[in-house]
Amino acid sequence: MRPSVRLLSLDVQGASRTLYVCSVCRNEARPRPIVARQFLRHASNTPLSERVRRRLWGTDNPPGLKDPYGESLLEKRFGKAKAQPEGETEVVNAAEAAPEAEAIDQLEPGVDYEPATTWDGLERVGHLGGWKNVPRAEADRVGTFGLKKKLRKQGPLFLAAHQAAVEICLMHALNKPLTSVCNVTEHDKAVFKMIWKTKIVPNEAGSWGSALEYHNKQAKEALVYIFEQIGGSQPEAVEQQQAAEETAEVEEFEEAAWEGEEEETSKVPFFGYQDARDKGFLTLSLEDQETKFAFLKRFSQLSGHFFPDNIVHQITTVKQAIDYVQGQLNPKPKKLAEILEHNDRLQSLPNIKVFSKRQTRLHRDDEMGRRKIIEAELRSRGLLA
Amino acid sequence: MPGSDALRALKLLSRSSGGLLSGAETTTQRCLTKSFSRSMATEAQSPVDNLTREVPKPVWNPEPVKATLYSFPSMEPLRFVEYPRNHLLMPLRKDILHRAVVYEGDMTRQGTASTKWRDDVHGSGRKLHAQKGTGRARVGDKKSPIRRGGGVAFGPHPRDFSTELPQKIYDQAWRIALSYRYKRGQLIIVDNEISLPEGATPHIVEEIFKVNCWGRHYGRSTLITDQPKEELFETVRQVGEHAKILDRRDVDVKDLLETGRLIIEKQALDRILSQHSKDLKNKPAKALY
Repeated sequence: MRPSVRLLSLDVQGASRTLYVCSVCRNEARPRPIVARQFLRHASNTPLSERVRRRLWGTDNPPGLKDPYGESLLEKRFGKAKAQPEGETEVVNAAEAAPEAEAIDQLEPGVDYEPATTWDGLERVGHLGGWKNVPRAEADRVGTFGLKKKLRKQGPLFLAAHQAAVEICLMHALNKPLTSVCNVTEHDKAVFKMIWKTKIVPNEAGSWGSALEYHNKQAKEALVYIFEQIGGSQPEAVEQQQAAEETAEVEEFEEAAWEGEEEETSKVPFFGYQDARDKGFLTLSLEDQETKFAFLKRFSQLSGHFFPDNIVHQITTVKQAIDYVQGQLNPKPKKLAEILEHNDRLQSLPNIKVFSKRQTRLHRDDEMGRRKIIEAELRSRGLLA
Repeated sequence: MPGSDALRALKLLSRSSGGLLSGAETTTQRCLTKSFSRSMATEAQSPVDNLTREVPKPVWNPEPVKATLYSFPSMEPLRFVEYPRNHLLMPLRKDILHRAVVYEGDMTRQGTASTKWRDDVHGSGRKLHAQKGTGRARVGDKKSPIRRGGGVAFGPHPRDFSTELPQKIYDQAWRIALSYRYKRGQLIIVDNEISLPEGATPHIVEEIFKVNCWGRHYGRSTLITDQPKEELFETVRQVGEHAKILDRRDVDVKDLLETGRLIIEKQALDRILSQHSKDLKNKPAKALY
């Protein structure tokens, strides 16, 4: 301890010393002795000239004027700085009070003014500078080709693949451009139902055009008519009256489909249908490049999944395309422990337990229910902090 | 006689075991003995197996590589395009890629570090005090490298760090890098120009990256345009955590390998490939008589 500091603590030496406190803290905690007051002279509120007067007269209430010597040089230099803030605070207080008073004045009669405690609901003035704080512009809308939310379950994936396969089979049969099926994002429910009921029976030749097995004749005619239109050209002359009636119905569906495209896509994909009716489409061949392109394009549009080039190159059947998507959705676990944990054979064995982490004695104690007892005993012996 | 001398020398050569003339015969014998020699305990392999094994047929017209073309903001697949196998299906050669990246790194080193040797430091060459008689260590001038404020001994000086790499290898490196991307499904070729609608903010870039799973969570992506576009670049660079954008002239092999995937304009890809296939275009030299 420096000698000067030790001097300051002379008068409080007798304080109790029950606990050890370091010298610095002790000094800071102690009340200041009178000796130190001389250094705090400027801290007093009474002005210097007043203190001189008191000293001269030898009393705290000297007779005469309050400030007979006027403002001293020291006062001018240091005293003003103290005096000014007081005045300022008054001004500030007045300024703070004024808008509140104004605000209260401006309030309609019968509405109580409540000062806000949080910033919720308050108008924001200025912004924080980053683009994230600026709201989206009109031009920021992105039109995506596929679904924004990818299909994740097997049933909807099969439905999407089946729909794509049926549509492309129809286009093959009608000899229309295959990729034009992508122009209609979503069909009407009635049309979708007809597609859903249509079966695909792959033939040995592997041709897509002759693989369709329609639910009934009407469905066939309706679908053919619709996809003739989607293909880009008007259907040939309709001879029968019955057929004309059907077309009218179908046109209604068609209009509905186009309107639906503008609106947001329906909440429930595939109108609540859960799974494809038959799985014949899985074995359809995708060897033909044009068919493969059209199928994958339509499938990615309906399912929202992306097929990278290397995968496109490998895919030769519809099943492979679905397998790839499912593989992406359920990736193989990277850790051996995860694989072993999900192994039913290992789980069923009575003498084998699989853990994802290394088991220590602590885990074993925990399992046996004696960990708390051991810890308590250790703590009582002072071996555990 | 000189003729008889020569004959004698020839005889000597042919007689010696490892002689020049008997070289071919001995090597064939050695090879044969090696292939047929075996220890008694092993089972004999019938040599017929080797003969009946199918010889792989050479493929003279390999199928070209198929890549999908997309339209940019919507990412609608438009059609398949074909590229030669030696453009987008080169076998991976990490050594070549490494050499190319080191070459580029060396090439771009600034090399401007500079220090002053004792002669370059400003100051007098006066001897600080007399050689003898002061009782102090002998000194020269105050610019000596052992003194504070003196020159730097063996410090760096501006120099060119660039190394050399044969053009053919560098060209291969470009195609190997692109092939590597293609084979991993990380090369997305855009048919039209990469552009954003007028008045678009970085929100749109973020949205596109989110929908297509290109963002930081998926390893970031590099957009490569054929021509620099100031507005587009400015917008994309504000989303730097997800995206990196470069124009064709600014791209290096290192850039192709850096992020999770490349989204490249077809025109830019074609130009890069044509500029870096000099080793393919090279024809063997022909003798002109």
